[in-house]
Amino acid sequence: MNRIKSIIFLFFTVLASQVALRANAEEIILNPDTKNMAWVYGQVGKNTIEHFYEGVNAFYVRSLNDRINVMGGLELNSKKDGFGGVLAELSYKLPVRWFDLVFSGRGVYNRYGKYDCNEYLFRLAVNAQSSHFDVLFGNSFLGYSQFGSSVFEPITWSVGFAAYLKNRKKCNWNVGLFLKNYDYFIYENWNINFGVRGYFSLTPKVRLTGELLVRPAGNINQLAQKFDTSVKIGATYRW
Amino acid sequence: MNRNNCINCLYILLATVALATASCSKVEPTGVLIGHTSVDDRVKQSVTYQKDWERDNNNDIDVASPGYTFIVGSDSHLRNDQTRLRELFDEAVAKEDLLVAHCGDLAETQPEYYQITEDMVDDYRERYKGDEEDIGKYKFRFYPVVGNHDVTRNGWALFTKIFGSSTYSFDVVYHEGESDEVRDAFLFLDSANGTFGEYQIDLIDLGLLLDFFSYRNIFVFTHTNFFRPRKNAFSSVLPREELYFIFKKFHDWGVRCVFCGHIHAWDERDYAGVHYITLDAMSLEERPDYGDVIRCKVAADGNVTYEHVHLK
Repeated sequence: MNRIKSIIFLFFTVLASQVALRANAEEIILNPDTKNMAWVYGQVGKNTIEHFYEGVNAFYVRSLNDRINVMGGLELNSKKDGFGGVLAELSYKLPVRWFDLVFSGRGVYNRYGKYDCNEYLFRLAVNAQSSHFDVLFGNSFLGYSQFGSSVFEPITWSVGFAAYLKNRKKCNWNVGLFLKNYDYFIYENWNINFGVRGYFSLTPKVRLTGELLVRPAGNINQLAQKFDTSVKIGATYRW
Repeated sequence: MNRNNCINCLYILLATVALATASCSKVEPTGVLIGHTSVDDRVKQSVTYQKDWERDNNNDIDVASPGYTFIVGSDSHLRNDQTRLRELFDEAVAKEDLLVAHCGDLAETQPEYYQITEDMVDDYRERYKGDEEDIGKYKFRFYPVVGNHDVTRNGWALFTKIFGSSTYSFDVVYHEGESDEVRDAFLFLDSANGTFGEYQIDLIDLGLLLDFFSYRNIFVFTHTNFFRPRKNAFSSVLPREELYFIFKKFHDWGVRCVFCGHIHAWDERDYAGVHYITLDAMSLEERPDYGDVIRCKVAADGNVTYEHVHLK
């Protein structure tokens, strides 16, 4: 059974890399002439705790005007025993001369059902976005609780950097590399994740997205060790 | 698609393949320190060593009384100066602590520092070898786990040559009469890479590292800290899922106390019914003015208290 899962995982890894090569990395940046975007992707991965896992994530973004967006997201994942989490975000885009500053406030609730753990966080971040780069810095106020105990971490930095091959505003496909210590439903202290992502527009409204995400353990102040590798394949629809 | 785009695509493809192979345990493309052994390899070696050793040796420590003390230190980072580690050993001998546990980063990874460590440990073991016929006679016992500094630059080879295993357990047993006994479990786990690793996680999940006894107390020793004593500490803890997994496991087992180090700062707290102690560095270089360790007193009724011991 593990061999079958390994083959399936390898297939999706190759597929995601191929999609990434052909496609545009999908950041949730709305074109001025769209008001709504829905994004769904499937995720398969392997990690130290769960071995193989699979999940589906869905997001909806609404542009209130040309600067303010709201986003909601949902995660279903077998490594979290089904329901994984929800998030909501409000962002404000401030155009500066050569790039946009996107200020965001994001609330996330994660449920790790297998470990009887509830995790809450609220993140404030600013993302400098240009046609080819993203540089994000933020802080999460993160708390978790299990079995009647709780911990609050007022300082959990979010740092992220992404570089894209092509101008995201002018092309219908793109590919990029990224480094970051967070994902939509994972917020680490200093374990830096990295990977490659891409997107490809099938039509003006539909884009394919792909991402290969590598999450090592202990790679900032210790010895890098494999922890989690996953691929995401999905699509966005804009209207 | 023009030539430049084709070349760029080729580079991206190569990067993608390189990243995809990062799922292979032999490739670790990032990290400030790159170890030559993975935690999975070390744990497998440790388990094999431990099984072989237990075939010819009694793994349990029999005690004459249900109450005893043991002392724990961490992050000695021994180089040429042996002062703090020797003080720890002398303190244990003076107070006749049942054992000395060390939560990793024992020595800096040079062969000569490990030679110094090995000579010192052997010296104390030789001088205080106890008596199998008289369990009341003092015997010096030293139990370490690996830290990240212990396994860089092929340090694992040095560590395992001296201590054999870094994932192991034993019981402290008091025999009440002929049939009853009181058992405390001591469990040592390898977390030097910032994760317990897949193999060790499986052993933990299946409960294979502890014998299936009813334990009065369970004590766990490992290197990587579970909490950040300083809110802005530039230190990673375990990955999120692993952190919550191990918290639940320690809770389910009824662990009394978990000892760890790594972050060179004190922290002591209760979480999910388990007491967690993060020890500060005892290294003279790191803490020239003080180097604290902790003495645990297990009372006859099984209650445990903790006392800071100040090393000069």
